[in-house]
Amino acid sequence: MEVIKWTKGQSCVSKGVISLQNDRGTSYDMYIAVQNELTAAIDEMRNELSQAKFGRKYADLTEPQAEAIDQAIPIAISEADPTKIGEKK
Amino acid sequence: MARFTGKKAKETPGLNMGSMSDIIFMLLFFFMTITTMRESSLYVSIKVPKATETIKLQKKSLVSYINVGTPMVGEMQKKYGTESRIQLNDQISEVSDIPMFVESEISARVEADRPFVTFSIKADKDTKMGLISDIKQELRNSGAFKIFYNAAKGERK
Repeated sequence: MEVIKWTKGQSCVSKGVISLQNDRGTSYDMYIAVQNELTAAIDEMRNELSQAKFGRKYADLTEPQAEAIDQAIPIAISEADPTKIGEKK
Repeated sequence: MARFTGKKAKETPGLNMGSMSDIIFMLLFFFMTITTMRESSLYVSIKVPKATETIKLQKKSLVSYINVGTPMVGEMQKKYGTESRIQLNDQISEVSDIPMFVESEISARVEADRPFVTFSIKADKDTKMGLISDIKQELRNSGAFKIFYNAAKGERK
């Protein structure tokens, strides 16, 4: 785990990456639903961390505070090329 | 005392031109506002998917839309079929037209705005991911890395 030094201490940075892969036949609606859930999950994690570290919700943080949370919990979603199972050709 | 003129007033009074300039300017401002609000018409039918984690678009003028959907019933379907198609500006196009579209959209903006141009995929919710992946691939190849997905704010189920 990578460790970043903040002005008053250190904190851990998540190095986890979310790999997203879909099939060519998947509906766009489903893809958006998945992206929606991922966004909601990351927002939830960021809110938890900001409450723990700053006692405020992520939306109420100052610019540098928000940046620090963003560094600790980056949006690391990697999209792979789609599989061709459900494709009609 | 009043002076009598021999001439009887038979001519109709001329138009009062004083307010003409007001009318001209009002028409001018009217057309100026109308032109800003007009969007290109849609030839494909799109029902965007619902999502809860949406953000409002900040600079609408710097967003270019790639519309994806099935051609509208009638004229459009006769011409373009019933499969999902892409609409760029006012034309139904192919995925291969995207690089040129990206270039023309960027060059259509002022020098200062060019790095902030983003592309938004406004696709019907039943579109297959194969087409969307092809669009994203072409956008990536054209250097447009920042994209938005249009969605309607709302709870799912």
